Amino acid sequence: MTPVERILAAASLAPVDRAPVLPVLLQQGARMLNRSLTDYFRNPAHLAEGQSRLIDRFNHDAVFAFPHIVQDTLPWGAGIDFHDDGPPSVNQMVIRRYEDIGQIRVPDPCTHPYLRHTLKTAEDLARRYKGERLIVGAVIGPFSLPSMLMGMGKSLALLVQHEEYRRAFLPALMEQMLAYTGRWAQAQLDAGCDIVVVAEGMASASLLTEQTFLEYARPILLEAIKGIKGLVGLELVGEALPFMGHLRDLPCAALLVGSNDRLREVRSILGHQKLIIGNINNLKLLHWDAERVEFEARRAIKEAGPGFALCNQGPEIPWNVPDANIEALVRAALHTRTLAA
Amino acid sequence: MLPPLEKGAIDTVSHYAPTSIPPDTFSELSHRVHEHLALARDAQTSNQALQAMLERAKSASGASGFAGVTQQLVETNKNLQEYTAAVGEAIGIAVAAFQDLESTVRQFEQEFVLLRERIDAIRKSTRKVSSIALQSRMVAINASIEAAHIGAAGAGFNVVAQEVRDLSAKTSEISNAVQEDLVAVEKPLEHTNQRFEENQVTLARAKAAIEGLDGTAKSMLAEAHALAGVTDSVEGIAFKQVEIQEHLDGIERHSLWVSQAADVLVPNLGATSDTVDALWEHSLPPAQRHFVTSLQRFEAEIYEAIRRDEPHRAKWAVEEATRAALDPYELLNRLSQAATRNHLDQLGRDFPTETIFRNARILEDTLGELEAYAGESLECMQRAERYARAPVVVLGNAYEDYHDLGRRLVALRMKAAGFKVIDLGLSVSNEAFIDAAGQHEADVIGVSALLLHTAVWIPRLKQSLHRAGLGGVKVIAGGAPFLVDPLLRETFGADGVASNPNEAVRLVNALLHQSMSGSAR
Repeated sequence: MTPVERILAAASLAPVDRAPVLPVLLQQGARMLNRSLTDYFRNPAHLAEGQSRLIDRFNHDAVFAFPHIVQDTLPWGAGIDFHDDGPPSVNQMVIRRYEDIGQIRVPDPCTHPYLRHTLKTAEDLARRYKGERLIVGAVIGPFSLPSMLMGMGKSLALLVQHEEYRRAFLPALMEQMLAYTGRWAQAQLDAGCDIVVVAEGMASASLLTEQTFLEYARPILLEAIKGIKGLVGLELVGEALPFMGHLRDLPCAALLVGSNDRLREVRSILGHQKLIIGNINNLKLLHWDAERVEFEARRAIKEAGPGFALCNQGPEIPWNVPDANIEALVRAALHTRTLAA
Repeated sequence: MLPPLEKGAIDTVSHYAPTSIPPDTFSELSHRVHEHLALARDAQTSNQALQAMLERAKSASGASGFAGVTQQLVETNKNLQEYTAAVGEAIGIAVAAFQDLESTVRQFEQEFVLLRERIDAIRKSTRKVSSIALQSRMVAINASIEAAHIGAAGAGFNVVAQEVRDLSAKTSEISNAVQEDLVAVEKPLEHTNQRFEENQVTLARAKAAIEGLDGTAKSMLAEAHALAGVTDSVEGIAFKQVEIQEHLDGIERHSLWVSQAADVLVPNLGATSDTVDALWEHSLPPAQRHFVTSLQRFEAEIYEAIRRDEPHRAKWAVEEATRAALDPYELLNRLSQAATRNHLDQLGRDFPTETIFRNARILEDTLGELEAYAGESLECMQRAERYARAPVVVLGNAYEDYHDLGRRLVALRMKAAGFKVIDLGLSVSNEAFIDAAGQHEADVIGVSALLLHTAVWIPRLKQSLHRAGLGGVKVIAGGAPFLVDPLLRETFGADGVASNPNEAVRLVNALLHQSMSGSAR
């Protein structure tokens, strides 16, 4: 089976030769090219080559057509800091007052020079790997993007504290976010990505109560996924299990779950639908030895059963995780037999 | 065990209480007893959580049936070794039998060649016999001709010649029959030879296969021995598991004792706090005696407001307290008690950030209203003499970290707990942390780091504090990386890690208590 055949088979819970393995390797591309992280991310012209070298090195099943997730804030006018020991971070908020929401003009992500590089990376990776490896794109979801533009505190306060602002600005804000994220996700798919992951860090059960999730988050998630023509993976970047019953009927092909989500229970709630992607604790990869990584990965594969792809918990594998641990993750998938549904 | 004091007993105590003791002493005493009661409740709640976890741990370690599985593994391994040895032995016998068969076949081959040589010799002999019979016949014919020439005198000779001719004919017949028999024998013999050669090829193949099988059996035996080693290791782990289960039993026993002690301590301390409150009330002039019950009501209302997420209820409680002209300092204390009780309710359950945010919103509003009521800032209230021992905490996000929600929630909760909080905001350099710690004589520095790479400043901060002569200042950390992997505390060398604002308050109290115990020793 080619990696793409394997993942598509797993997504429909059909028999696979082995579990697909999709470690989210973004920063490691810099190391493959002997570049600093700052250099690699500041000038993203070499991302495709970095991904290509990573495939040669680890032989996993997917390539990632985006440098880092905070790029999504750039067209809105946010500033980002680059670091030599971690991913870039946003250094200024675009929306300082709720009243600003009415004045915002939704930017076109495809015209921003940095994001154009990302689309070129997707095109380049498609030329190299289409039909062979899964090409993965990503967007910050519409419900969560405001937290990157105004800060998490302000974003949460808009949902649960300031009723008058919520009534006045939330619908318009969500409409703006849906327009932007939908356009950006579609552009990545059109450029050659096989699937786009919608990262909704603000919608997880680690952050929201069920009531708030149902009232504000789920309707937006549904609308966002319905609006994207192509395969969508949904990631809550935190606990997903408490909301799994509400996620089951969303029209996405895959769900990326958190490291505390019990895989057997996730599958039991989802039934015979959706690819579960998860859920090795990405920070524990820092201090586990390779043997433990392989053990945990095997455990996850066995526990999840059919319809599972092995991956780290979001958002990505940290820069300083030893290569031996990444190899162990891939090895576990190569050597662990899974049963057909 | 003493029974909890009843209301009547409190009245009796109040009646005989020396009225010469100033109300402030009772107020201080009440504050301390309430604090101890909160700690006892904390211990009780944590112990309940511990018992639940122990139950899960015991069920997880017992449910796996590790010992049983190991025993089965040992048995299976033993059987496997026996079967492998038996298979090896059988293959050895088969190999020996094949070697015998090969030797027999080789012998048979030699005898077959000999037999063919003998048949050839017989064929040659019969040909000679046929030739002699032919010659004898020729001689007999010639003798008959000569006997005819002689006439009657040759009649007897002719009879002999005739006999010789007959014998010659019979000899020839027999020789022909022998040759025909030889041909008849030779054909199946050739066929047998051909089959024999074919069988020899098959035999060679079978021999190679069984020799291969012999090698496999030897490898299997070696693997079975290796498996025996693994089985020993697994058995060792199973022994350890039993040991762990025994330790878990021990922990459970101690936890039970803690539970029994806390179950006695909490109602007794509750009764004591009621008694002290009654004494305090009694020590006040009659016109002010509503004060204590109003404080209790304030705490209860705030507790309910936080629990039910009812900001208007907290607002009402502050208005009532204001109307009753209660001391803002005491109200601050009760606010802290109410927040702590809510924290205890939440222990052992994972509450989403939204819940913590909603709680903090009520605390923030209540603190703001208390500030307005006191007519001075919270910081001024905390500087008051009665707050002299309030812990001083410098808070800030790690350098280049711009995620403020967690830090703001912690700051609020700490203020509500009566701590003096110096909030340095986002992206604070280690130098700024150290300057503020020195300037405000901080007990604790709290670093919030949502991004893993910003947490790397924490070990450097510890080192710099030591160099600046502020090694006694504790450094605590919080943020997503520490939630996902609590072991990162060791990696980054923090004195403690808190996963939510309530835990942060608890952690600061525990660290300061440790420091004080250390100094006392």
